[in-house]
Formats: sequence, structure tokens, C-alpha cells
Amino acid sequence: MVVFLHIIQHSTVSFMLSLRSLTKSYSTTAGTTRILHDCTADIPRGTMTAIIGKSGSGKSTLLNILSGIDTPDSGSLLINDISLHSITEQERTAFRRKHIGFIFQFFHLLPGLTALENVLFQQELQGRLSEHDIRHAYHVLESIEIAHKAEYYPAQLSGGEQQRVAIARALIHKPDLLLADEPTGNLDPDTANIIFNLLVHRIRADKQTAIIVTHSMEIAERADRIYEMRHGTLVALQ
Amino acid sequence: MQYLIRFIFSLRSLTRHPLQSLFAIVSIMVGVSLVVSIDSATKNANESFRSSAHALSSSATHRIISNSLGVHDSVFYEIRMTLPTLALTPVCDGYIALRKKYVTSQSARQHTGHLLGIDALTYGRIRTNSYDHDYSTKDLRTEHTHHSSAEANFSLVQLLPPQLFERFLRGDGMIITRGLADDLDIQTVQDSLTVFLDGIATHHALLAILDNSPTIPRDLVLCDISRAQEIYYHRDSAPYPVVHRLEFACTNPVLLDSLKRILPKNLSVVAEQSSDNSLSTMSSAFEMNLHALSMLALIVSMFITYNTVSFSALQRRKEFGIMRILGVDGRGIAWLLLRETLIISTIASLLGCLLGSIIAETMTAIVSGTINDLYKSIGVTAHLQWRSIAKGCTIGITTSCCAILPIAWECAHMPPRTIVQHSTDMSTHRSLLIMSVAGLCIFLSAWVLLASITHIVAGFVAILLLIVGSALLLPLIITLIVSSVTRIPLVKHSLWVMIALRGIRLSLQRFSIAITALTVAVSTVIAVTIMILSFRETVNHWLIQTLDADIYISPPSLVARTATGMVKNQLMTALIQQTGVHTYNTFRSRSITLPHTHQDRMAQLVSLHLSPDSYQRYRFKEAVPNPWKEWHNAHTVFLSEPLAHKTGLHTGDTLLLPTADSMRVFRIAGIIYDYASDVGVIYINSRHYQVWWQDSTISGVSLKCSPDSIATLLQSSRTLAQKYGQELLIRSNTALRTTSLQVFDSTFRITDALRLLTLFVACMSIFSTLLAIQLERSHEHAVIRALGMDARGVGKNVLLQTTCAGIIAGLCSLPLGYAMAHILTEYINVQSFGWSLELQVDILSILGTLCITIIMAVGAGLYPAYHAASTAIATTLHEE
Repeated sequence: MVVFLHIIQHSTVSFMLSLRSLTKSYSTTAGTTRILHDCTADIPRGTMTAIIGKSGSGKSTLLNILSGIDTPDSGSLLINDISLHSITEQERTAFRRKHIGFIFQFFHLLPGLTALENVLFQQELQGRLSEHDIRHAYHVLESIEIAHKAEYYPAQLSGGEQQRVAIARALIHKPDLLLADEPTGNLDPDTANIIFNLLVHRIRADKQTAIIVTHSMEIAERADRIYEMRHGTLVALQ
Repeated sequence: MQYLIRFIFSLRSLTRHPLQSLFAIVSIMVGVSLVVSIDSATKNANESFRSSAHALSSSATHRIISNSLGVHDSVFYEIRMTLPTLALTPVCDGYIALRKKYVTSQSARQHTGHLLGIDALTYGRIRTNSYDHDYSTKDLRTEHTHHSSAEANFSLVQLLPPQLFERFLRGDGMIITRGLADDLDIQTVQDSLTVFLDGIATHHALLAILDNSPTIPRDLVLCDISRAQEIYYHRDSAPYPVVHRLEFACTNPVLLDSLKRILPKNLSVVAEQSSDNSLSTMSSAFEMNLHALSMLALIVSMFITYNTVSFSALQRRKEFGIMRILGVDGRGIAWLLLRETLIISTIASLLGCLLGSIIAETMTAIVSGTINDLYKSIGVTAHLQWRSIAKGCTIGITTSCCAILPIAWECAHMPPRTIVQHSTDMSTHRSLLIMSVAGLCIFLSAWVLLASITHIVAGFVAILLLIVGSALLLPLIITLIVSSVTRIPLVKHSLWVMIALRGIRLSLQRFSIAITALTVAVSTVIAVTIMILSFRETVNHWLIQTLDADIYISPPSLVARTATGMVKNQLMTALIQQTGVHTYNTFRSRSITLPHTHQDRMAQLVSLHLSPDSYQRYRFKEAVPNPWKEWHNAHTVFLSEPLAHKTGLHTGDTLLLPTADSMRVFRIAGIIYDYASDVGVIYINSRHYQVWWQDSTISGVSLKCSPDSIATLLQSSRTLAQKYGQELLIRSNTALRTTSLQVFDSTFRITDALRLLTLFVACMSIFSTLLAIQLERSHEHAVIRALGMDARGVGKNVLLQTTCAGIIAGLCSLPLGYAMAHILTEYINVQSFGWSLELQVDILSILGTLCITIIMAVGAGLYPAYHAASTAIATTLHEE
């Protein structure tokens, strides 16, 4: 436990993400499929990085490995010089809870909770909720212009509105690393544009380290750095 | 080929969700096994009951019976002389306890045998007329001869070697069945038998052992009429040799009239059918009770079958929606569902029948034990009942297919897009409201039905309506409970609790099926528990009030609840004359057949000699003013409550009873609360009984003494019984009460088994449902895990949800269980038995059931919780 606390405290001091020769394969009855092959990259703190690539190129798998919800077969992943996959599952969960924000393509809001509660849920995972947390959640919802639907359930919101709530949920606990898996992939072009502007605005404002996986070159071009996932390997484009 | 492809497609769909298919099969299987086992046990018991009544009875059309002490031997000869064309045979018939001779009581159990004393020559004459298939020679082989003549009819002359037949006619010994011989550990005819009747032992040689045959009752003990008369001599206590009845076959009305004219006044002729009626009315209440239990089990298993099948269909709504979009029409989807249900239900029903046949053996033993305690000593043989198996299969397959119909109809008629969109939940406010209103109407109609129709079937239908009404009301109740709880500030600020609670509301259709199944099962258990408790408490209260003597003495009886044996006269005198006896009461109990106006109903006639201080112990439901003054009137009787209910007789009415010499009219002076027999009891003053029935024998005596002398009197009574050579049951007040309650408890042993099975089925059902729900929620769990909740937190969330489901089911089952208990005790019990019961609710046992429900729900949620906790986050999210 002492080691674990040390890791957490150490990780909050300075932040940098470093991938070295990451590989990942999936075995099925049809055989083994290699998804990632020798992925190497360094992501500086406070930058916005875009990863583009074709469907099935392994972008989402890489994002899952970066967030710690999946493990690589080989290679190393260092976040602030700490190897995320050499710590236990429980420690990884705690790390994810505290330091990572996740935005999914399909929003993945919890259907049983209202918009406000969905945002607060991330806060509750950090500990008991206080009045201050509730005010803060409202504030975050206001900042992404969805506070007026705070008491709505996900099923009562449009796709764009749901994604706004998902962004609020990802940012509420001020994570060190924001991971977004095609955050506008499920929205119409106009809404996608609005949502992405909002996201970029928040990332810039908070000096957030962010990695965004997208299909769209137009979106990727607004990032500080662009990588392309090509045959399972990261290739720096910019 | 097309059908084969469709069949393979259906099979593949089922194997794609192996665990779900397995649970569906297990749930239906257990439900079917319940029906098969209870139905088989009931049928086995009924068959034994009837076969024991007809045990090797001749093909006689009529019986000559006596209203008092049996038929005098001389009557037989007089009729034979006067009416030589009449095929007449004397019969002694009854139950005895048997043991292998020279085996001590510690090392061997006594077994009950059905003793049939016949006159081999005349009995065979009647049987040969039409019963030749019943008792062919292949059934009867002796150890001595292995004689088997296929052409021979039942005739001991042809069957036994001459020397053995001669011995049989001389009354030298007995013939028993192989089954009974095995029970008694008798290997050869070299062994001898000890027969016990009313505690008096007699020893007999064994002449032959019959091979087992379905047409011969397993407990048959055959002997010559003279030997049977010797065995029954003490009980019949007539000053002359008697037989129990004369049987004859006669279809000629003139001959019948001639016979009636020459018969003495104390004898009457009854048609064989009448004796069947007496028997069937005696057992009908118990049969009804078993059918009630069987029906409850059936309702629960039907509901669970519906739950299982409809749930698996609901799970695949999205898949069906996609198929509809791709062009499969509604009919195609409906057939697909029906085909799959047919495959699953057929497999499950066949397995259920197999399991049911295994359980049936235990059930049969329990049922036969109850019958032995309550009505009649019979040996019930457990064998496979094909009709029960066919019934179980039909119910399993039919209910499964019926259960799928609404879902199939829905999938076939809804627009494809709607099916896909509503794959998680389809309970709109409108449908919830419609269901609730319908449920309320059905719920209320149950009470309207009970208020308007006083028939036992109305009680069963009302229970069914209650269950269906509650099932329809439950979704609204669940919604209200969840909404109320989520408004509690403490809960409101705990979002993971909110996720669990609102998850129930979000998956209302699935959860309501699981919760309803659990509610129905638990409420059934609560209802039966309340009914038994009410019954037990009422009986206990009645025993405390009625048993006022200190010592009770009677001969051992094969039927635990009735004492029809006799205490030797000299012994009786010695017992009541012991030093220390303050007062005593005696009773004499015998079976009596009521006249045709009361459907030839069988009842117990109990003559009582009561000391005046015992009068106050009897509680009247209704009575004439000062009934105990009327008691001394020669033409006065009291009726027990069940008999009054069944015959519709009230205080002041008259009742025609067959006395020793003629039918006499008696006035009913009161209706007494009595829980000793549901067959019905007629009480008469012993002084008048002895005159009217010419019977001065005593079945039992109770002694009152000072508390200090109880132990001494118990000992001295035992010494006296030993001295007079009669084994007697000599018990203190407390011991008798304990024994009575033990008999009572054994009566309800079958309900214990039923309750356990019902809970097991409910547990299986909720387990499969919860697992399915959690499988469906695995995406949500993956999201929660991705957001940072650890595996333990997810597991706790699932357990919280299942606990909530258990609590809701427990809370809902309380009022439903109480309502069902009310119908069981106030309507069904009254209609079938006629007893007044005070509804007793034991808070502790109800709370215990509530706890069991919650524990069951939590237990059922353990694996789903583990499953949810070990969700592979990346894979699950990727699949989405």
C-alpha cells in the first residue's frame, strides 16, 4: 500500500506519457490477429495529440491500453516514469479514477442517472459527495452549455447533449490525461463541430494533456501533434 | 430440408446462450417434476386406498352387514339352506400388525397387513364368475410346490397341494405376499408369524408366499375365515362367532327381496357401490387437500416456466428486431420463438418427468404415512404413473408455449424499429397503468368470487386470481417503491445505490418477472405456513381444553388418529378400580355408515361415558339450551363440526342411524368443535349406545387422579395390562398431547417438502433471471469500471440490486401470503374439512421467511455479482 501511495503521489508531480514498442494481439478460433506492433511515441504534458487511422487499425485498442483498461502483450508504457502495467489491477483502477478522463464515441452515460448525477458519479468515485461537488458539477455543465438539462436522463437527451454530458463527466475531476475515442464519431457534422470546438476550448483552457482518436483529418489538424496508426504502428505525421 | 435448416438454426440460437438455455431447462424441469411427483404420489395413494378397499374382494354385488357386532355365523348357514341358488360367502376383513415370530421388538419392525379371512370354497365360487383375471395362478405359487396351472382360476383347491389346502381350510396358517414377506424378513414358509390386534398377540404358521403381482395388494394376508374369527374374537366381542360381512352376487330382484325378508333385523343389505361411496367420502377431503397442494405447486411452476421462457425471448428482442428489418415477417419470428420453446420445453419436460418419478417415491411415502395416520392403514406402493408423466409433459410444454405467445405476438406485430429501440425496456407509463388497472380488477374479483360462491373450486380460482392480479400489479408497486426510496436524502447522495435502484426500474420488465416469481413462491410458503400454524395452534388449544384426564389408556391402533380397538373387559374393570383413581371417562369408537340421504357417508360413532366434571371441557359451536341435560336423553346425539358441515345438519335436526335392530331417529342437541377427525364424529351417551347397539365394549379409558399418584398409576396400569396379556398404550396427559401434535405434524410433512421444492424452484428462477439481467448490463458495468470503479464496487452494486429485489419480493409476499392464507383457512379448509380455525400469524416465522427470501436473492446474486465484477472492460466496450 505504501508503494501504491508513492506511485500515486509521484505521478501527480509531473506528467508525461511514453510508449515503447507496445504490441497487442487477439487470439480467436480463426487464429491470432496482431493489432498493435511496435508502437512507440512520447506525449508531452499539456499537449493535444490526435491519432488517426482506418477502422480496425488499432486506435481504440491503443487508447484502452493507455487508460489501463487493457494490457499490452509486450513493450512498456510509462506515465511520468511509472509503468502503468507493472502495477496491480486495483492500483491501475485507482490510477484511472484519479488521473484519467475518458470520452467514448457512444457516450456511455449511465442510463439510471440524470445528466448531473452522471457527472457527479465520477466525483463520487473519488470519495463522498459534498455540496461543493454538486455546485462544481453544475458549473462544469454550465461551461459546456448543458446545465439546463441537468435533471434529464440520458434517454431524454439528444446525441449531442449526451456527448456534452460525457465531456463534463470526463473533465469534472480535472484529470491529468484526457482520452477521447472518436468523440464526434456518432454525431452529425454540425453537432460534431460544435462539440469538438467545445472540447478543444476546454482542453486549451485547462492546459489538459489529451489524446484524441478520430477518423477526421479536419479534426486532427487542430491538435498539436498527429500520429497515424498504420498497420498497428504509430507514425508521426506532424 | 428447409425445416431441418430452421431446426438447426433454432438449436444454434439455444447453444449460443448455453447458460441461459441450461437455466431455462432446469427451471421448467423442476416445475414439471413438482407436478409429476405430487400427482404420482396422489394417484399411488388413491390406487392403494381403493385397491385396499377392494383387496381380493369377490365380484359380489351386495354385502350383508350388521349394525352392531357382526354377522352371526348361523345366518350364513340359514341363507344357504333357504336360498341355495345364492352365491354367498363370509368374509372377515381388517388390518393387523405383523412380525416374524421369535424376533424381538428391538430388532424387527412391525408391518401392517390387510387380513382377509375367507371361506376358500365359497369365495372361489364367487370370484370364478368374473374375477379370473385378477388372481390367476401365476400370482400364487407356493414354496412347496411351485404349482402353476395357467388354466386354473382362483381356487385354492386347484392351486395348493391337497395337504396344504386341507391345512388352509382347517385354519392352520396364513398366506402372505412376497413383498410383505420381504418386509418381514421371511425367506421361506418355515418361518412363522406373530399377529397383533389391539395389543393382543397370536402366533400363526405360514402356509405359502404369493408372488408379487400388480393385481394383488402387497400387504395382503390371507387365511381361512375360522382363523380370522379367532383373531378378531376379542375385538368383535360377540357372545357368538361372527363374520364381518357376507358377500353375494345377485342381480335377481326377486331373490334379493326374498333374502331381505329372511334377514334378521340387525342385518342390512347394501350394494357394493354404497361401500365405495363411504370410502370415497371418507378420503375426499384429504384428496382435496392434496389436490390443493398440487395446484399451488402447479401455479408456482407455471409461473416460473412463464418467467423463464418469456425472459429468454425478451433477451432476444433486439435480434428479432434486426431480423424484422432484414425482411423476416412477424409470423416467421413467432414460429422461430415457438420452435425454440418447443425444443427447450420438450427436453426440460422429459427431464422433469424423470426427476419427478424419482421424487415421487419420497412423496408417495409421505402421503401414505399421512393416510395411515389419518384414515386407514394401507401400504402404498410407489410405481410409475404414466398418466402423471403425460400430464407433467403436457403442462411443461403447453405452459412454455403459452408463455411465449404474448412475446411472440408482440415481436410479430410491433414495427421493427420499435423492437430494436425498446430492447432494454418496453414498459411505458401507459402499459404500466393498463396492467395495474387490470391487476387491481382481477385482484378484487377474487374477493367478489369468494363472497358470491361458496364452493371449494371458487377458493382455488380465487387464489389463482390473487396471484395473477398481484403479478400484474407488481410492476407498479416496484416502480413506486423504487421511486420512494430514491427520494430519501441519504440514498439520493449515494449514486452507486441510485444506479442499483434505478437499474431495477429501468429493467422493470425483467425485474418484475423475477420479483413476481419470487413473490409468488414466497407468498405460497407464507400462506401454507400461516395455515399450518393456525391449524396447529387451534388443535393445540383444543387439546389443552379437551384433554382433562391425567392418564389415557387404549390399545395400540394401526391408524394413529383413531382408536377402534378394544380393552379386555376384566382389564378395564381392574384399571378403573385402581387405588387413586378419582373419576374416569370411557369411550367406544366404531365406524358407521350414514343413510343414503347423507350420501352413505362414513362417520365415527363415539359413545362416551363422561364424569360430569368433564362436560365443561367440550366447546359447542351451537347447541340447545343446557345440552348436557339433553345428553342423558336416549335419543340425543352431538355432532362434530366437520360432520355437521358436510351433512348440513344443525342443532335441533334429526339424524337417522342404523342401530343393532333397526334404523332409529336421533335428535342433534349440539355441534361440538372437534379436530380429531375430518371424517366426522357422532357422540352418544354410552348408556344409550350399549342399548341401541348392544355393544358394551370399551375402546379406551381416561383416568383422573391426584398429581402425586400419576406416576404410580401409570406403572400399576402397565402392570395390569401385562397381567391380563394385552398390550396397551398408557400415556400421561402431556404425552398424549405431544403424540397428537406429532401426528398432526406428520400430516403436514408433504407440505414441508412442497415448500422446500417451491423455494428451490423460485431460487433457480431468480438466479437465472438475475444472471441474465447482469449479462445484459455487462456493458454498463464495463463503463463503470472504465470510469474507475473497482471490481469489488461493481460486485457490491449487483448484490445491492439483487438484495433490493429480494426485499421488494419479501415485502410484497407478506400481504399476498396473508390473503392466500385467509382463503386457505377460511374458505378452502372450511369447504373441504369443515373446521373453524383461528388465523394465527407468527411474526417470527414470517420474519424468518422474509430473511430467507432476502438471503435467497442475495445468494442468487452472488454469481452474477462475480460475473459483473470480472467483466473484461475493453472487450465489452469493443463489442458495443
